[in-house]
Amino acid sequence: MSGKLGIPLSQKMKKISKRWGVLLFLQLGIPFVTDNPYYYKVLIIFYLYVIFAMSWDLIGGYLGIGSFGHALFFGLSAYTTAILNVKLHWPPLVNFPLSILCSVIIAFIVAKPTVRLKGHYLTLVTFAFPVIVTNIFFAFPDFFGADIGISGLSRLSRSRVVDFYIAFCATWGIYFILRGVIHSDTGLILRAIQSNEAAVISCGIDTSRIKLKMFILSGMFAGVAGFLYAHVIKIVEPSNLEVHMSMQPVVICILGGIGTLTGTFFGAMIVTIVNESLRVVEQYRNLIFYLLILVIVLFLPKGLKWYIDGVFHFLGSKLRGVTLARK
Amino acid sequence: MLFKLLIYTFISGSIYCVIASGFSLVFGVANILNLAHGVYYMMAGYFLYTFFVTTQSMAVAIPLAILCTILFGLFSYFVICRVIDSPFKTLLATFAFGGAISEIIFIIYGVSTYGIPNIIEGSFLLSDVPVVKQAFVAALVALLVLAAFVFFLNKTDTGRAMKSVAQNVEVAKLTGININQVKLVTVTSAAFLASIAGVFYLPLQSLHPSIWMNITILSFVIVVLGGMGSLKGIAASYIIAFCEHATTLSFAEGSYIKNGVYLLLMIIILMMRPQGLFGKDLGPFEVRT
Repeated sequence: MSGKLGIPLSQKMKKISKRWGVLLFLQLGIPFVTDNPYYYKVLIIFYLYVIFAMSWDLIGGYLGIGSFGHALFFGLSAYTTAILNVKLHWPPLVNFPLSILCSVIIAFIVAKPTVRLKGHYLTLVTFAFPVIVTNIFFAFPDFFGADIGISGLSRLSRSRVVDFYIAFCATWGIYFILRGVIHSDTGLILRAIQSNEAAVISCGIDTSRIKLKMFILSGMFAGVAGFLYAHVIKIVEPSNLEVHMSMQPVVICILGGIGTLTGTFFGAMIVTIVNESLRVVEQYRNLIFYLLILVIVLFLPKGLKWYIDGVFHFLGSKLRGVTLARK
Repeated sequence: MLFKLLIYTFISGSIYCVIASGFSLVFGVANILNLAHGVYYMMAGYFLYTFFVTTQSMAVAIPLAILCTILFGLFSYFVICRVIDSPFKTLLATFAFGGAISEIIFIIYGVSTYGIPNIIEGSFLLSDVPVVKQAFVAALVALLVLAAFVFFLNKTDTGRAMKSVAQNVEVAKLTGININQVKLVTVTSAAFLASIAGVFYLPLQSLHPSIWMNITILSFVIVVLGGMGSLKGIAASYIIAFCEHATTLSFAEGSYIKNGVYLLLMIIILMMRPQGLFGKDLGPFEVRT
């Protein structure tokens, strides 16, 4: 959360962040409380968003490669498993390595030209790839199903409780892997690249190579999310790899604060709640989504979580009658 | 076949020229890559449709539509010029702005496509290639407006101020140019240029809330291809138009993959020659190869 080069947080703030984490672990007990399939679906989607957002955060937050086309890895993995599952009737367990491989390959193809670019160019290139792939999908409607997509995928496992635990374990597994990466020496290099790439190059570190590696890692985890998503929703559509989907992890990360892994949990929670509660006003859902982005980017540049934590911190210090200097 | 291709390339290319010049200008002067640029084009079409339906007269509807689009551009300036600290946030904000506007249009007009009646009906034969009169007139008007705009840019004080801000902001400030005012004029004129294209060319196409995305993609491909910030580079729009028509005419699936073809072209150009085809030096724009 508060890396050596990240935004420094006070001890108090760290404690607050940990409390969010404990709250999330309480969800393990949910199968003992409820049996409603809707809650399971929402929770699983929440976890998939978290995985997706964390994978974006690795390159977007820590490396400064703000990708606009992250849904490509997500969607391509989903499409791979859908085609293998529906057309060839292969079970999900066999499809898993294949769809991840597919994401990794496409991540390599995208990363190769992207890591050399900067600023606007970089974002535009990541933006271009999903459009190209979507166009190819639309050009072969028989195979990829065009607008309708591919439906009728088999379930991930027999019961939804197991589905839930798979998503839960995948999320926390990926969280700890990414946490390991970020707290390792590589993580230090990542943040150094973001603040001053020239300095890192002058230390004799091949930044392009590290960026490529991180991009592939990120694409792989996005692929995991896409694979699980395909088997939970049981339908794969072109919208899964379009720009609206690419915006989801970006929004989650800017809500939770870019460059904080735990923030993605908070952001995904808000996005899931907003998405689900706005089902009654389906028409306005996208509008509210875009307005949310605008408001955050224009008025809350540090992410919503930063401000909420700040409020908690302020209240805590008021209650004790001491004013802690907030860094 | 080739002549047909060239005629179509000329018509679409001229329209793309006038659209992309505004996009390029905003990027050069305000350093904002405005992903909401296609919205100006789309809004011009919807304004035209609305005014035509209410007044039943094209002569009234066209100036009103252009005026409203300019006002819309003025409004968009206040949204998109607020964030300039990081390229990523700028792109995010402009994209969200475009998305929000298109969603509002979607709520008001629905997803159904609208047809706007042509100003000039009929078509003529140009050595056995049928050319729609409206398209030909639209291309000529576009080139005329572009020429007038280049004149404005080179001969008036405001235009020269815009050029100087594009070249060096600090020096422009030192000479007493009001940067914000120049940016305002730039964004507004980008909206004006896009509205010209929209008003004359959109009647030939169907109007629905998602067209803005294609126009934006088109503009940034042209600008990347031609070289960011160079007005000469706008000529790359003819290359794009040629690619587009060549794919559409040669494959049955061409209309699906035409976007893909020119985006692929953009990626290749960015890898081989990041300053673009016509750009000489990188200037203030940072690209590492």
